[in-house]
Amino acid sequence: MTPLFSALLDALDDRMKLRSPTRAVANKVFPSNWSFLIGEVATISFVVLVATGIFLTLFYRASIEPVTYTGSNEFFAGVQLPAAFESIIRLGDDIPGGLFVRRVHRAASHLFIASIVLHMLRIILTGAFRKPRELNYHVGIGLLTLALAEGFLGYSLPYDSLAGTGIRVAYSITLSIPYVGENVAFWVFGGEFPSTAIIPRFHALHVFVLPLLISGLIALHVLILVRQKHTQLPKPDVDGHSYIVGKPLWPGQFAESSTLVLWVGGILALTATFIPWSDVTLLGPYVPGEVGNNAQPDWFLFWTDGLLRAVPPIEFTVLGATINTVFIAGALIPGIMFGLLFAYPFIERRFYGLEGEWHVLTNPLDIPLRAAMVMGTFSFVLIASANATNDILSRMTGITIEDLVFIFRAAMLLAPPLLAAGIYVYSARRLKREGARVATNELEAQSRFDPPQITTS
Amino acid sequence: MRGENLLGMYRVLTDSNPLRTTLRAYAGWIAVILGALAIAFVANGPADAQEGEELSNPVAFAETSYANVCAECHGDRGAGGSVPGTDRRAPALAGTEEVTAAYLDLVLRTGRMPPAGDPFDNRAREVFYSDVEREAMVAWVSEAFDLEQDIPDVEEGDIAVGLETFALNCAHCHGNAGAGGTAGSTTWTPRVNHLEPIAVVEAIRVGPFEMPAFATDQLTEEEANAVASYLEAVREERGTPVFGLVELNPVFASGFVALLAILLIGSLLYIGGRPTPFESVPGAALHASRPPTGMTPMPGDPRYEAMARDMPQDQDHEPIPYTDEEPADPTEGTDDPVQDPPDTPDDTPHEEPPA
Amino acid sequence: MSTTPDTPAHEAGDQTGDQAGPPRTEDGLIILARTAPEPSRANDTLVIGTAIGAAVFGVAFAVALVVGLPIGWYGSFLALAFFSLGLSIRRYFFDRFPEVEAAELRSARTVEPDRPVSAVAPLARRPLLTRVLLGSAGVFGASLLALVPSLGPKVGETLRSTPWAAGVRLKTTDGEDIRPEDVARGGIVTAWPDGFIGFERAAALVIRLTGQPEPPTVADWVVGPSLVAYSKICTHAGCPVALYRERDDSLYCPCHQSTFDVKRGCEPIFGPAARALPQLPLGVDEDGFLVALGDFEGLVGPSFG
Repeated sequence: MTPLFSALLDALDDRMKLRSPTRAVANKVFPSNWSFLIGEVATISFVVLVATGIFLTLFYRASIEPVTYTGSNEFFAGVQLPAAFESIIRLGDDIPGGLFVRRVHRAASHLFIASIVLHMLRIILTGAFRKPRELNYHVGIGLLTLALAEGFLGYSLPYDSLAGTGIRVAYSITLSIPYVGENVAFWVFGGEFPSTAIIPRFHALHVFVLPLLISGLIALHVLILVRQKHTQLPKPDVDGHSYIVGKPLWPGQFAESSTLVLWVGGILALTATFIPWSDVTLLGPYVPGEVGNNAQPDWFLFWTDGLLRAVPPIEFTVLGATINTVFIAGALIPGIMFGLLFAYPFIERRFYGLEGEWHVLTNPLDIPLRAAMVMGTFSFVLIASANATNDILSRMTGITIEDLVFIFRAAMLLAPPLLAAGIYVYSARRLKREGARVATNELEAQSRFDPPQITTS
Repeated sequence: MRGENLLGMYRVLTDSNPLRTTLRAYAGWIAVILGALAIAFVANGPADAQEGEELSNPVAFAETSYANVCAECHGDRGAGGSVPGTDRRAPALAGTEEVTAAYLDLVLRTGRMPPAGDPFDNRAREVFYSDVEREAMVAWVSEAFDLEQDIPDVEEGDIAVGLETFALNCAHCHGNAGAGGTAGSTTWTPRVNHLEPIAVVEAIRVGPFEMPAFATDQLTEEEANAVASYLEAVREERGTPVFGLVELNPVFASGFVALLAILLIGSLLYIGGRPTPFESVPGAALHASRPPTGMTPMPGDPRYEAMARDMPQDQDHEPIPYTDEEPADPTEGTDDPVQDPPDTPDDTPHEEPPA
Repeated sequence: MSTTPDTPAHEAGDQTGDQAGPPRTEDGLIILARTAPEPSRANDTLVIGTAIGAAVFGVAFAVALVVGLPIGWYGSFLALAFFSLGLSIRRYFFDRFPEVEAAELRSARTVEPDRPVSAVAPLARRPLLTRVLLGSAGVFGASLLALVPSLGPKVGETLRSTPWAAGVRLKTTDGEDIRPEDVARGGIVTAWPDGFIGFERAAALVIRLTGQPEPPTVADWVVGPSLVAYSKICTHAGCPVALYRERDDSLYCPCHQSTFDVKRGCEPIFGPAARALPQLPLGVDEDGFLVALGDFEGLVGPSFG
């Protein structure tokens, strides 16, 4: 450390008294396992999203008023375009680096949501949601929901032909809510689709409201994590219930995280160079009443679109409310899935009568209910997601769309319960073979790894 | 799982020569760059064009070819007939208003006829006739069956008008940017952004197979030309390096997201693993100190008391090694000239905070 | 950097050297293991090389961007700069710091559920005041929701009717009138009510069927032998049902694959749509142009309420 730098630090410390709190932070121990870095990747992606988003929002025009395009792109020479789409084309073709920043933004959004999903999978599979971490788990679900919403809004903002179709379907889903649907739709979308209020509202939500909420929830997520400390993968000879073992923040974890920041930056730049994540020129602007073939949302909403394609026609009126397919596929089933996700920590605790606090992660195969629940829900989501690609699959395989939808409907109904039951039976037998039952407290669970140490009275 | 550093191989390779050491440290990177260049070269390699030779006797060629290839389904006199192996019928060529010279030219030009596989599966495409052969076929068949001569003239159109016209009239079947699509039942709409302009205009006018025809009062000549020029511009659109991608449907984008996730997990395994030490200093061994039996409860914890009482001397308990580095062979590289550490301990800052 | 095994100071009172003793702590950090690599010239070369590489690639990125090279150049340079710097930092820390495996006690605090949070306890009074206060605050907060309906116009009956009415001419997207003979056999035209071109919910398709329309098609609203008009908005999720399959006279929605039998009143024959596309009463006025004879029969687009 250079003398000047240490003098500055000393002066700062003299005024702020930072040395001992800093040491406490520097000594915080992080478990060393690669899977604990996934959440960090989500945070890094969010920072990249904010940084690139600030650049983009300086050029974006949140309006669908028609304007005459005068930029250099030959596809739109002298044509009237919605202002939002026009500003995107102008940014991509006439601002140096504009297209690159848009691609990095879009790639980072994919990485943000993908890492949130992977992180959530780790949390659920290993049981990091158990007491005392239920609250942080719910904050995480909140972050996932906001990230999905933010992803949808970002997909909509360019107002290309796919974006407009996506907004139309979202509007129809809102409309389908019993009793209040049309009012809610008018409140959210500012009137009947395609109202001129949609894009300005989506823009405000996308660049201000949701990022603010996400930042707040990330801060809360990390604060709770610091307060409750990390979980710990089981290690022979380590009492993970009382201790965290790993590398201290300084220098071990700091080195790892700063490498990770640069590495994620490199990956995003690399994919933005080779993959046209966000190019929308050839899609053209949205024209009301027109749609292109092969219309899909982004991958993280495939499952809802797959459900919309798969749920057979249902429409009936009960107590003056109309229940239709769109409501069931677009709101009810996703709502049930999120409800299940939300309630699962309590279900598991009640089902097995778990006691006390849990800090050591477990193999999901040691808890049959968890293995079954993850297998059931995720296979359902994956099959539903696959159904959203059925038009492309049909084209590639030559199986007609009618047959494919039938196959996916059957798979969606049969495969998740069968897989869940199968893995439940498998893991229950596995436990039985080892002469064990599902541990109801952490000491019992730990005794499987480290028998000599469990001698509490 | 412990992430292995790719550079770990240098532990074996590295010797005393600094230049060779440096070269080897970069060998992996050089390999990656060379590999990328090779992929780029292969991906952007020149496509070879096909040139048909002149036919010595076009009429004889067409007559024979019709008898050998077309007549099997459409009949010797062009009256149509059943398709062998199916119960479906091939349409008549002669005496129908629908089949014109442009129709014929289109189906031969795009490889729809003669079919590459199942004649009713409109996805398979294999252009059978070269340009001169096709011209001979169109000339002979349209004369033999008295077809209307309606092959249109195509001129350069306005690309921007083409995009608008395509979005309003074509995209719902042929997909955005003409990538092809699905129309339900056994119908798949063909990809159109690789077709020659003449084929595009012919298709607009004749409405082949399931496609509706667009008359000139629906799509003017300028608009048809514009669509053809737009699709040509789409074909000439520059793709990204290496992959040559132009625009991604969300389905294909999802495949690349999966690639991104794999890249991410690979990176995490790499970063989450410990860097592999280089061993340029002879006899270097890692110095590890570790507590006797791993993590044990601390004094004050009731379990510490219990443990101290129950198992005070657990000497049988084999400690788990924290590093699996093996000490280097002391005989290896003993005459290594690099003896001094490059960083003298004196300029290493003392990072320990004062108590 | 020390090249000898570390011998950190033990906490006072520790039994040093005892094989069964508790681990050592340093500045509040319980150190379990500490490894320090030997200094290595290869490592130094790598750190210096990649650090300089990062700077060079960074400059190359800047130059390529400013000069106006294509995205492939500056994007690759930026990625290489990031990767080089990442590798450099990783190796830098590896060389400069010992690797430490440490432990941290989860919680030193004892649980005291009965202890009040604040030292100042409330006086024993009637709990009613608290309840009334909290309840009123809640009611007050809920009343702020009165702003929500201002977010959009009143719905009323807007979604239950369209601008189509008796005598309204059909217009193409370009704003031209449509004559029945303009629509070729197997042809399809998107039509809008006069004055409402682009009004999404009013979009209609005029189709010249290849066969004869059958019930439940309303025969009075068919022009000529087989010219019919239906709403273009899918009754499922509101996508435009824009794809007309001439072979079996059906309309197919590219979004969710609902298929409608145009010959039989646009009844759904496949996919998630539950209701038929509403038929537009179609007629011809005295000038020979297509006009509507009234609004659609039935609700346009997805159902609600």
